[in-house]
Amino acid sequence: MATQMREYILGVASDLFSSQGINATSVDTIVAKADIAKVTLYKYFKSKEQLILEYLREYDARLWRKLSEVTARDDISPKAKLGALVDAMMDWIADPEFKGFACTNASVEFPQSENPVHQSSLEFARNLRNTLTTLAREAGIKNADTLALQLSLVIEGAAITERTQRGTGAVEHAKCLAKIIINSSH
Amino acid sequence: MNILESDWFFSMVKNHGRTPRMRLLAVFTIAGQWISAPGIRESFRQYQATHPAAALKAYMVDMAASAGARDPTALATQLVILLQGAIAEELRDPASGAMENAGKAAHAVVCHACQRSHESMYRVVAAGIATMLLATVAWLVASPAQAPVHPAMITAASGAMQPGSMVPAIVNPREMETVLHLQEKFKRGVCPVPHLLALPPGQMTAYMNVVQFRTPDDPEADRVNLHAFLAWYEQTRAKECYYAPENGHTLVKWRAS
Repeated sequence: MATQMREYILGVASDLFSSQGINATSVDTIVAKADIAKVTLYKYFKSKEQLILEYLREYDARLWRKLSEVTARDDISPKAKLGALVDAMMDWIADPEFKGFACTNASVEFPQSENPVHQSSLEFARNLRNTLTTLAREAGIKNADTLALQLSLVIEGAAITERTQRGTGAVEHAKCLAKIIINSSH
Repeated sequence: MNILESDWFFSMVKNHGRTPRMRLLAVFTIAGQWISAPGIRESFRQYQATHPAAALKAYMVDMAASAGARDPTALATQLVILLQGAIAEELRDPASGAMENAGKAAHAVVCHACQRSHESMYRVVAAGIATMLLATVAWLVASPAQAPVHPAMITAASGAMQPGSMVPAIVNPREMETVLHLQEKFKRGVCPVPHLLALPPGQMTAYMNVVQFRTPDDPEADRVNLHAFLAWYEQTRAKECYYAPENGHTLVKWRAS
């Protein structure tokens, strides 16, 4: 019962955070939307910040679950895996519900580098970059760091373009783009 | 202000590259230079937040078509995606080198998109250069005294004919031309004049040899030095060049005294 309530509050808050922004969502809004007493919210989460951190952690975990389906495959070469990883990110972006990566949005809303939310928001990008670098190295690419950086730029650029210009096929173009970059790296 | 869609930006891009292909890549170079300027960074943030980059994309589609891309819209979309990603990363971490690496990736993408037409163009240019060199050599054999070419090239060409020197030590004619153009710009006050005495001595010699039409003592060293000089100038000073608008509105004409 207790965990259910906790999940429920986190779910309501997550929807609001992703649809209207983190700073624009007050605890009052969350309480009103969830139709609970404020005391109840504070019983499960000691502050809004904790709620935000849990929201980011949960979002990242969901995304990683999807990505680890690709990284766990052992039927394809590391180079093909790189492409597949980018493709998986693109499918995530192509979701009509996509409103930008939670971590990217959070880092824009909390630009102060000492803020815990900001620090937590950088974690996903760092992990993704490391994964890409490792795969590139396994694929025998000398400038693995460069390729990983370039691919993460493609992913980020696709996320921005898809959001600002829906329906221009940004995702498909980005998939192509990533393949060209991977194939021309050595 | 939409920083990347201003006429100012487009004219910078135009001046930075002679061919459509170079201009496509110049977008990354110039955006990279601008985003590191403190006053301009803020505009990039606004640009990214609000703008769908329609005008920039239209410009890139044009350039891609002129560069002979198989699918200009696809190429332009890809380059804009790369640019957007690089701007975001640069804003987050200025030391990441995102724009520079995006430029490198753009190079690969442009090469890929324009491959076929690029190869045929390369053949034409290579054939042209070969013919020109042959003609120069033939002319030199016939009448060395009257050859109306730059001494640096004469040395190079005659060097090529000497037995034993299989690799011609040539001062790159294109770079020589660039230096002469640059000298013209210095005279007209378009570009800032470098302090020649502060340059490495070899580069100063190479530069003076070209502008004064002198025969270099060591063409190979001159070639290297000239290349280094041009790269240095391009990187540090070229952005200070002022090009008057082509419509002539604010062009000040000085009367010759």
